[in-house]
Amino acid sequence: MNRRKFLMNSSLMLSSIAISNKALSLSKTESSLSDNNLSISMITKEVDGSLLQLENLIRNSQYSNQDIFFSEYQLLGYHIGDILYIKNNQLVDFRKSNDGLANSLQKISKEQNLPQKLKNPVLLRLHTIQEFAKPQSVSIQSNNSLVDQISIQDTVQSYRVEGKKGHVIFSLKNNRVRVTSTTCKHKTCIKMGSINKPGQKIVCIPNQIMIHINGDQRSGIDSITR
Amino acid sequence: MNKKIKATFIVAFFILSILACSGKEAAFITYTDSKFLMGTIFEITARHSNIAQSREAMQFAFEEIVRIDNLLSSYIEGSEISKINRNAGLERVIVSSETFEILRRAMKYSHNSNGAFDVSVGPLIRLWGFNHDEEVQFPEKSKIDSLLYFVDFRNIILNEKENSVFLQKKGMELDLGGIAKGYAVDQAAQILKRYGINHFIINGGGDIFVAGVKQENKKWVIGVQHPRNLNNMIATMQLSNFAVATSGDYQRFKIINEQRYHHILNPKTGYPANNYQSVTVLAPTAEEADFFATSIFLVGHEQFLANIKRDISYLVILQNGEILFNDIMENTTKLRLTD
Repeated sequence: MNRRKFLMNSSLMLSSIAISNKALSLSKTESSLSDNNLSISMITKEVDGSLLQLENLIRNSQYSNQDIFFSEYQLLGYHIGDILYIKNNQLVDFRKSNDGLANSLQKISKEQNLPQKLKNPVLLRLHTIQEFAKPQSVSIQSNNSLVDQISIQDTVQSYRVEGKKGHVIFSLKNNRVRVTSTTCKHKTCIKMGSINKPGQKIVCIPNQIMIHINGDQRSGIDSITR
Repeated sequence: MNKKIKATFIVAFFILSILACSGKEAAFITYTDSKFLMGTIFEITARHSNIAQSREAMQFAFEEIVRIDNLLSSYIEGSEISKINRNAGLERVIVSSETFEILRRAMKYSHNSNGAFDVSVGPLIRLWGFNHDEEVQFPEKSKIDSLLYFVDFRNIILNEKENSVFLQKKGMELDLGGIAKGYAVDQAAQILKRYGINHFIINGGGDIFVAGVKQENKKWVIGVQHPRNLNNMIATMQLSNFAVATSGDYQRFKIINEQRYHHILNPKTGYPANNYQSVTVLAPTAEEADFFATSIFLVGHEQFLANIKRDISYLVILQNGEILFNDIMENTTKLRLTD
């Protein structure tokens, strides 16, 4: 793989960092709601062991009594395996920090020889609040794998996602995502219109593509019957 | 030992015991995952104090959904339903107890709805092209009329002694789309419970089963999709240990000559029913909720409820946009209509 493609594939981690840095510009209200929170993301191939270690780490920390939200995504291709540690909306360089959690993350990182290039790893995410109420990023999944994650503030005229039977093309502008073209016959994904709120998603079932705005649905809805 | 020292130790022991007992339970972990299965998307959210246990249970739940699809899908060549369809008019097919029982319930549903619910509707569904990713075309009336000959649940012959199924006419075709998703949701729910997960939501293409509670001991909140403004909700409900299903004219449809045609076909006419924009119901199982929602959509809520003689919570949206719901829906779910 050439260097350019490797860097493009590594954008998942870089965009996570970029998104996290943008989180620092939360409004006062949102900041106060987000005090004393934690987010750990990890790209790894050692899923079971990493999860056990991360879970124990949180259980033995100041966050032990808080509910934790967890998700995992299969990644395809090459990605930089590493750990991202965000504490109280601040990105923490765990390799330089001395807090208890950071020390534990250093240990995990050393054991797995991170950062390193990994093929088809898994992205693990644990956090103590259901993300930020303000939409931050858009996840793109195809065939049950996470293809990309982009900032909702980007402007993208035409983003093509390859799917099971064909493809979907969507646009992102002014924090709104909409599907503009699809190879599927029913065009339900186009009929969905545009989405701009956390938790909303557009799904193309024949192509097995899901475009999801990350974050907590402020309305507090856990699931939708349709 | 000195009495004073002994007393100190005893007091210390009690204090330490109280402190140990007052320690809080491990915090819950809410784990969400989704997969494209059965021609739709299944999403599971599970709450448990142990990630590994949640992951394992969720994996088994998804595997169960795959197994059920392989058993019941008329679009998978090796399924038992496909085998029954291939032998229509030719010979009976011996099936598993599981498939036999599902079909027995389907026949019961047909009787209870006076034939409005009918799993022999396969030829019509294929003709219209709503399922999976087929081209939707407005069929000629003569073609619809000719296929109605093959649509009648009374020509499905079940033999209990040998667990066999026989479709009496060549050209008949079963399609379990009306209950298979609900059944899969129910079975996946059983798997999660078997593996010690007692707080969860399973959503299979909009058919939902909720168990237990979410954080702060609150009931799960389910949104009812707006049938015309698909990114919004028309109502929300709070639920625990219930199933909910919706049938709507907006899930798979095509506008032809300014007229909306959708996938919920009346098996007696061959055309989509036009009583409602959407019907949402509650039931103890997702399979039953599926059946109730489809039947009410086809027959009408007043007629269906009068026939079935059961209290069913419902929320319906008429073609003119009017929203109707009954008291038990409102009281059971703290139903809230959104503006």
